[in-house]
Amino acid sequence: MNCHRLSSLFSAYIDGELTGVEMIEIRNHLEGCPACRDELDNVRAVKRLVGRLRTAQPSRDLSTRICASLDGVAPYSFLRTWAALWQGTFRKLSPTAMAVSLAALGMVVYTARGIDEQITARANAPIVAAGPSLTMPVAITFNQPDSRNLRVVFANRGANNQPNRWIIPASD
Amino acid sequence: MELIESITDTCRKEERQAFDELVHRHHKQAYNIAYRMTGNHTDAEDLTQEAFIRAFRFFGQYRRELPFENWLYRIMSNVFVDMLRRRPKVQIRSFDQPIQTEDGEATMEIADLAPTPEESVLSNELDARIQSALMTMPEEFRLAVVYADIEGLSYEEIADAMRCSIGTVRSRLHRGRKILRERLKTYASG
Ligand SMILES: [Zn+2]
Repeated sequence: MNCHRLSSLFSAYIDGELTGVEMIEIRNHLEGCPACRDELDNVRAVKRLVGRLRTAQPSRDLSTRICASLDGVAPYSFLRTWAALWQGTFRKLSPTAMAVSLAALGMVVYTARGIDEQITARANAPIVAAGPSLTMPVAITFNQPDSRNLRVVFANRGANNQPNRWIIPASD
Repeated sequence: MELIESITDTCRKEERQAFDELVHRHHKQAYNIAYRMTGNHTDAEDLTQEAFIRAFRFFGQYRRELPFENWLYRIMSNVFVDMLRRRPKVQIRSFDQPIQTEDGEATMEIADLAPTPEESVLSNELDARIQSALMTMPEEFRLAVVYADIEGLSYEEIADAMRCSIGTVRSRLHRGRKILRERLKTYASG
């Protein structure tokens, strides 16, 4: 293989980002080519130089300032939930879960008022009769780490005075 | 309705607390990258702040199975590109100029600049030289180099952060390092 074509691979070679075949090809060539070995040393030296740059330090209060600046920022999370539901999350849900989320969706749209001015739709607050502990869902979020599971937060509170939550698993 | 609002409020507060925690944990790392991208303190702080604001705004889109840093890299790349678009270019560069291959003498000089494994941090002077060499290359090359050599990302992760193909990452790094070497050679011999 010629030196010019080979040297264009050196960067990826030192990063360990070549295929096994390419790696072997280069290694074999390097054994008999001092010019390419020099060239490779150079690329490696550049990489090492950049890697040894000092860690630049921000002002001490940067994180505090960033957090303060978030006060006026409205997250789009509710909008996203809304959009995701429309975009076919329903298909993955069981009929019961779908009914609940549909009802909850109405509430999400409702509670999203003011959170995101992009949502202008209004919906009446639906009542979900899915069990004694469940009343009106007030928020739906995706449960982590599987984003297909929905977490529905209900308006009433449980024994520990925490809002009731219901995880709706994605059905197959 | 008051009850509903107070619960929604609680959820929002929880999310906000979680996010503040992420800011405290990741802002230094973010700033360091931003500094190497922009080359100065003020822009680096602006970039960092803007990136976190955008991250917060779109926090709902963050897939939790992904490390937060990787998601932040993506946002920082975007914010950086937007930042450049808003501002007039300070330097005029001709990126298309072919870079000449250096001779053996220069080869030695660059290898000499590189610290030995015992020297973990470069001198201020050398640090400044490398930073200014970074600033002379096209931004997308610089970003790739910063992600690869400072953050130690894989090509796949860089491709994800910069929204380009792995082949593009490969070529940006190759060309970026070539430019660096060329610039550092000039410094070394001058
Ligand atoms: Zn060769």
